Amino acid sequence: MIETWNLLLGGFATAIQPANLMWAFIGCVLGTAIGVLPGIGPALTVAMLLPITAKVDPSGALIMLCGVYYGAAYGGSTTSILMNTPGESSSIMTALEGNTMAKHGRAGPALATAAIGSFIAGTIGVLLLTLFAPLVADFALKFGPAEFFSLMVLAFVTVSSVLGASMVRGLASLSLGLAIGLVGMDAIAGIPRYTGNVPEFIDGIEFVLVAVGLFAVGEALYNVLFEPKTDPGTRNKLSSIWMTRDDWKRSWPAWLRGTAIGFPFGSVPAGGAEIPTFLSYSTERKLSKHPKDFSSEGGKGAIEGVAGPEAANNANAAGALVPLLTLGIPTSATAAILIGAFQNYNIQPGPLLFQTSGPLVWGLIASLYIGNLMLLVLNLPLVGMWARLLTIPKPQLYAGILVFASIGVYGMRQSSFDLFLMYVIGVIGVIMRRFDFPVAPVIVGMILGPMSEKQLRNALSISQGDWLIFFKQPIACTFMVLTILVMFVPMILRKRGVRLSEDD
Amino acid sequence: MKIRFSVALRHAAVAVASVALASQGFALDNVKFMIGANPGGGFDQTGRNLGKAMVEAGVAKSVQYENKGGAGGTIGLAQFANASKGDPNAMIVTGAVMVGAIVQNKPPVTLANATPVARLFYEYNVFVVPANSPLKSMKDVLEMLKKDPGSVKWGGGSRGSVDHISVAMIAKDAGVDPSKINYVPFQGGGEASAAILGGHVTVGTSGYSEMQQFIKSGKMRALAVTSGSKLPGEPVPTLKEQGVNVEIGNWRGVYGAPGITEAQRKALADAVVAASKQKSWTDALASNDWFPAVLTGEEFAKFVDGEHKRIEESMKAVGMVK
Amino acid sequence: MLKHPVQLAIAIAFLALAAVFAIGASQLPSDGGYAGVGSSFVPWVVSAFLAIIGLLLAYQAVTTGFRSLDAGDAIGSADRRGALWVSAGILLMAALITRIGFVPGATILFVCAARGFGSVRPLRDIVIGAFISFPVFWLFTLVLDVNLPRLINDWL
Repeated sequence: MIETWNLLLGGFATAIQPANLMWAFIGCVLGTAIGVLPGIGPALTVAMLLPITAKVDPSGALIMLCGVYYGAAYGGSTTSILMNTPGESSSIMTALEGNTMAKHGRAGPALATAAIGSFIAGTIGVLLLTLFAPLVADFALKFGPAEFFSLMVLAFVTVSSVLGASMVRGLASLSLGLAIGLVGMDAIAGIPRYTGNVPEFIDGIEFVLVAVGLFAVGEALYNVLFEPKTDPGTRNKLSSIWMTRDDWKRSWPAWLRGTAIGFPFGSVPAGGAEIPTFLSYSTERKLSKHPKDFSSEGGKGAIEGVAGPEAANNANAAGALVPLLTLGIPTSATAAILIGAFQNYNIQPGPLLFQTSGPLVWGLIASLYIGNLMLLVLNLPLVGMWARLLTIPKPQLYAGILVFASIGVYGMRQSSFDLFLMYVIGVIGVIMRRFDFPVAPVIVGMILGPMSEKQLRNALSISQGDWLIFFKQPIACTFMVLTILVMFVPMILRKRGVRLSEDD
Repeated sequence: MKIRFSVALRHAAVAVASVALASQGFALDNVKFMIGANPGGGFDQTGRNLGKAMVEAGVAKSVQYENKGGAGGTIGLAQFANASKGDPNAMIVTGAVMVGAIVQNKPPVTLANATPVARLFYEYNVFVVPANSPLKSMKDVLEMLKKDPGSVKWGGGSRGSVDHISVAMIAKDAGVDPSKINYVPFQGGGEASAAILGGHVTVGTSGYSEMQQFIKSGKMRALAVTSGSKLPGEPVPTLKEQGVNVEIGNWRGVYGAPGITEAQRKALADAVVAASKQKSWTDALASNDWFPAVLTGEEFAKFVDGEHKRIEESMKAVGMVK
Repeated sequence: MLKHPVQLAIAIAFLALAAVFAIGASQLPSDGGYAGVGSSFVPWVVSAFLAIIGLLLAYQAVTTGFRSLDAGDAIGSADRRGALWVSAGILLMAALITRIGFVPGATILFVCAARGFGSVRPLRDIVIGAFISFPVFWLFTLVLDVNLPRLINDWL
């Protein structure tokens, strides 16, 4: 422990050198900027910045690239909350409550809880990384296909909390998402499915495209069709920029729970950043003392529904550094490119990294603490400015949202086909909105469907067709038992006359 | 009308500019690389390293990259063939993965719609087991395979990849029906290495450079490499040295645009050859464990034809194509 | 006769989708090797799921209508002209972006969409639209080296 402490202090000595502080700052600013812009994710940005490794020393460059990686996780929430345009799959859950809050004049608190939650989760995440990285890495390796599949079953069941007022229509949305998720190349056998011989469909439909189509385009079209033009709406009435005492009280536990969910899932090798945000949202939805505030209940937006998923997202980003640094295993596209950056310096992340390049790694870890603080300082003053954006008159506001949505969708792979597809999905979004089909389950189905199919088939291949594998392995079995509890405990309680708050 | 005119004007201007620049001594003007994969992967690294070396070698004025990932690079290939017809400065990165994707999915646009320029290098795979595995050599694996093919779970990249084909070839060589192998595909090298380290699969295979660190740190045991002779400086025996008559590598190279003249094709090939002598390129080869294997002109075209047939046969053997 | 024809149409759309997925699934190979479940397994599950949902929705539509829904079938009050402007903006941008470049495309979208939402000052909107899309264009092309369609050169 003392040894770790000394090494970390050494790391801080590296990180607070003025040049390195500057690199961290540049990385944070750039990361926040690209997080705000939909369509260019951190993976692309880090890839484009890779050539810098030819000119800058390793500490500086890696500190900057990690700043981009972290900053993007911060900035992703901004467009979700303000424009209902999630730029990354991991900020989709944030859009649900965050945008509802913004529409009721509470963009400020939503942005603030996202920024502070990100800071707290990021810092705790880095702390856990500092102290327990090797232990966490060993645990993460226990996750194979069977464990992942069981985890996804749990995610599927808890997702019922985003299904909205009508169970049938919620499930209808989920089934639509599963159907869209099937389009494209089957990840196991490599056979194209439901592509209709359209080459653009072979890789499947990007979920950011569907999210932007359903959320932003669908809402703009719905708004122009059915909402009065003159009504300024509650959007313009900024009731408060800052979080109230009640907001703090409701955010705290959500931040901590989000962190607890996000960090471990970041460290498992095939997690993806979305699942912890789903689980965190469901948890907050189930535990909240204010279920009526949630957008699925027609409420004004629940702050814990922003605080939890955002914390989970950032803790997840810290967790993903565990297998990256200790095993050299990337758990996301961005992490894979970061490994490329290390390799450009002939440094191989992995089991030998701490021995071969100790000072560098500790400098990097120390810079993560500093970067987190920088991001908070950078983002909090922006909250007011961002929130004021919503006072723009409606025509220009929605036109701007549409421009941003199109830029994001087009920027992903420079295909105008995607823009047409975005429009079609937007029209479907209008119909869904008109008949009160919730849109979030579509995205959830799209993401979970293909992932769980892949893990199911790999797990069964490993067990040679034995379905009981999901109960024979301890971690998988734990998730399955948890799933059964989540499904049946409320039912039994209800039968016994115990009423849960959400059924009131 | 006005818009079309301005586009035409632009083309004219570019043409004039490139003539002017060509006379300044650059063999190629602004080279455009199509990379049929997302940033960060093997295709991307190949393209970007080659582009850098071309600028350093003074054979290209500048380089631009366009990433269009998906379907083994064939989506990028389709756009390349359509958008850059006759462009003497356009190139696309290709390799065994793209040939595999073409054989498997039979897309409308194939490598026949582009002009072969040069093969660059080979990359070899290694077969590994977790350190605590009872399997000590390829012989042990083959014994287990012959006894019960399903009990050997092979972990590697996607189906149809070099990883998968190499496993099929090993099974065939050992007299085991290749369609009976239990192959578990993972996406990306990271997921595969995690599954191997965690003991979720029996044997794993991936590019040597990806596995090297796990072998060096003792977390994995290397059983065999897929190259013809031992990799320089590495003690791992080849498959052939263990009585398995299989040699397979993952090659990469570049193609030019369709409809360019023979002279333009030669200019591209010369530029690539010049770049391959640059230090930044040889450094990239060394750090990635890529083995230089430059081949240009008609010989390269014949080589790709041969690869097509070989990969098709292997895929038929495992029942991936009919 | 029917009280909720549009709702029934939605239910039928789900059933049709289920049929499409079932037809697709029947053409996929079901051989899954050692796993026992192949490419067609999950498509069949999804198809069945869609069919059940379709039946439930149809039942609701022909009985009392979708449960807990306020909007009903009313489409009468919709501002179709506005929606046409917005749609035209998106579709024009999609159709023209590779020909006229990114910035003009985004500006057209901005102007049309603002018009749809009732803006009456198209000239000002042109300026704002260009003002929004220029920095983004520069960020993509000059900083990130992403190839966006351009009208003249690196700057436009």
